[in-house]
Amino acid sequence: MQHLGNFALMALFVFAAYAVVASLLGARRGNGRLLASGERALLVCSALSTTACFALVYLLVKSDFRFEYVASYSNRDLPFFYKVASLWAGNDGSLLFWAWLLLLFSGITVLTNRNKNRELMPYVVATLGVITLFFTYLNYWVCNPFHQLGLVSAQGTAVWAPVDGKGLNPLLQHPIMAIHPPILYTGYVGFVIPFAFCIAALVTGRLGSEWITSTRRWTLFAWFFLGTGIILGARWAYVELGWGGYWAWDPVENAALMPWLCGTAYLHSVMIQERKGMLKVWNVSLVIVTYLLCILGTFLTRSGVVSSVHAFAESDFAKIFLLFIGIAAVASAALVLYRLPALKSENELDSLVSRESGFLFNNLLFLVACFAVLWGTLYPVLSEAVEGEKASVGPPWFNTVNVPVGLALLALTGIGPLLAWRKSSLDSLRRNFTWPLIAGLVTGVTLVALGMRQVYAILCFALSAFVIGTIVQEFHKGAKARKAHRGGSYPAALWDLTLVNTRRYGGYIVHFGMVLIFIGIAGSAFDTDKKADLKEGEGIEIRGYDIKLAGIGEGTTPNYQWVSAKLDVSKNGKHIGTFAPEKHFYMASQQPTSEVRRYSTFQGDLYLVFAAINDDNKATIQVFVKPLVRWVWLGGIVIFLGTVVTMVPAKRELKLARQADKARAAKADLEAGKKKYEVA
Amino acid sequence: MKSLDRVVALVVVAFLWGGSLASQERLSSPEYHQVADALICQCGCGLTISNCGMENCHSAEPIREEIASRLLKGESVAAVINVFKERYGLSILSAPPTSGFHWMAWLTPVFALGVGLFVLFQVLRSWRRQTTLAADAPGTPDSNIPTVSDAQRARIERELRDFSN
Repeated sequence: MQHLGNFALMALFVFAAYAVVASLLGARRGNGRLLASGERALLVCSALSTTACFALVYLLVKSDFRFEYVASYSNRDLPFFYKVASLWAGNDGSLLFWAWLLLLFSGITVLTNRNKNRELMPYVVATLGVITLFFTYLNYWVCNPFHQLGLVSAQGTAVWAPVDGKGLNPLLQHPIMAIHPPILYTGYVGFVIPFAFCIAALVTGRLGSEWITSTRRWTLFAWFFLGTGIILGARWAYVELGWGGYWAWDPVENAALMPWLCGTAYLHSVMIQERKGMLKVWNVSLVIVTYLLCILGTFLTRSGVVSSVHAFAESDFAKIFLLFIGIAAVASAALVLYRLPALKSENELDSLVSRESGFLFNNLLFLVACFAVLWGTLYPVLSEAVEGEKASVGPPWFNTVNVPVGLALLALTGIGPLLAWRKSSLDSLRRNFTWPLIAGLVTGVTLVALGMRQVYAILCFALSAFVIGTIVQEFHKGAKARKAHRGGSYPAALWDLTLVNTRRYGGYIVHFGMVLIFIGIAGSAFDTDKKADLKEGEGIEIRGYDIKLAGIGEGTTPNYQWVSAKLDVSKNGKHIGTFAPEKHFYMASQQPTSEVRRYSTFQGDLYLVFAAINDDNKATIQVFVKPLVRWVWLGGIVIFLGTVVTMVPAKRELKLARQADKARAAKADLEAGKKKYEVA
Repeated sequence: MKSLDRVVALVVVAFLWGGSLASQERLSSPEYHQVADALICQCGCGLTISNCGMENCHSAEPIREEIASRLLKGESVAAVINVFKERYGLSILSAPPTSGFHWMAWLTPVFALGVGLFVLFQVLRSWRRQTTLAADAPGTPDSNIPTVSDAQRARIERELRDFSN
């Protein structure tokens, strides 16, 4: 199998190189056969990458510990599911997985563009080929997952295998963690397709809306997966790490957040280009920066430049990665500068109070947030280089800097959709803003009257009410108008309205999901926790909850030993249930983990951690009360639904597509008839 | 002599027990959280001392104990933070200090926002000026398009309002 894996990687490199050369030569000479062979070479690369991935998964499942990667990230008693997940547990395997996703998406792009974007495709294939070459180079020569363990002796080096592997990091042995990396990687890698089309558009000078339309769904797809990956990562941190939080501004979390912020800015600004032919330079720059941030994120995770609990061990390919990022940045910037005259706006701004201005402010805030995250992530490196002493940048700094920006973005989430394209009159502003503003103000004043004093939390809840007001108003107005126009029931009008303009109303659903996440985050201002050493029968009290230790249990599985604390929980005298947070001790890796238990409602979570057991058989129990945290996960689900709606073609698009199909069929019939006539 | 040993041992145990109870109480006080949130755990988890969840963490646990005991002795929040800063250097602080070179950590994002706003307003103003100039230019195609009068605009607004209500 190792020969198959290495052969596939080597062949992959050769075919990727051929795809680049054939595509560029074919485009230069106008040779259709060469172009087609270049595309087919990329398809072969997809098959070869699948083969290499399959070979590594096979070795992992077979527990073939002759291989360093298998011995480092797997063990015999690891369940099958996690053996497969070990593919992305380490640096070498995850890079192979990354390349596989890249080539899977490349293959889909080639297959779905056989009859369209023909002028762009040679350069799309060449760009994808160059990126494939880079990752394959890393996978074969720098971080080869098929590297065998050797025993060096006087007679030479002999193949050697340990009896058992070190096992998968226990923290990764969680269902969410098994699916979180592939989802996150899908987001990271997915941005390569818009990037490749953007480069192709810049090379060919076809800078209209063609490349944007072709990559709209890819952009949404990548953005959606990146966002889902971030939410799943937060959820995993919350349920698995046992510190009671879900976001720590860790460099690896930040690495995923940065391209998401930049990608979100692009998803908004691209609407101005589609509608008014403006912001062309800005949009190509955003696509390029988003992709470079994806690569930078990978670099930060793997290079060891910044320390993180999530990061892979420091490796020696930092220079290669930096070189690639540098070359990609310089080449892209040069292309943008070369095409600058062609990237001029087709229209100008009609008014400062317009949807266009709203989008520009929104873009500014997204990019400032993105820059702040990058700055905070890299500041320790900078401070060490300048001052000779590394300064840490932790949650207090990130919260201080990003919370005001986040609140401004939340406000714009409500303001933007209420502004008209081109120009908003005073009357329309008054008409659109009155009720949402009243909703926001009433919420704010009520919270203050109820005794809330946390300024950011009050602002967040008030702005959330304002944004929800705008969303409800938009749906209500549209449904009412549609009902008046078409008749039928109100729910049917609401449904119809959404299907007629899926992008707009799907976008509102996504905004609603974001508001729910903000509400959940604001709840963290009211977190509280308690820690106590309890004997059987003893208990602690926290915010109306009574938690009593009923007993301690223990047991063993082939993979780990466990000990649990049985806790009887009641609230205001009413028994809620019995919860048993556990402590696991994994035999292969010799590492302990905490398995928390939660009592979750929309009001908040009771979060129970079995921290330790003392020598005198007392259980150390840590209890957190975390208001509104469930809204974060609900927001994630709503965003998921909203994104699906935006990806569904609108009724008008479907009608146009059907008309185009009919026209194509009629044209084909006509040509067939012509041929018959000529033959006759 | 033996009984004296026993008494000393009992006193020590009582002190430790009492100290431990007091420490546990201190672990929930606002002052404790202020200090623990201001310090980063040195185990490499990247979390604050409040949040490090590693079992028996070699860094977080002794620091927590020390914070609690120092606060119990009446030391101020700033003084306790300073003790750890002196011992571990800047890397223990969860945010860069607001002094010297490290002001840059705080001011750069604000500066970026300022520059961004300035550039944005300049761009918007130039676009707006170009639009005005183009509209004012005689013989431009736009100038031949009949413009909407205030009365007509008011009527459109009224009808739109009636339609949406």
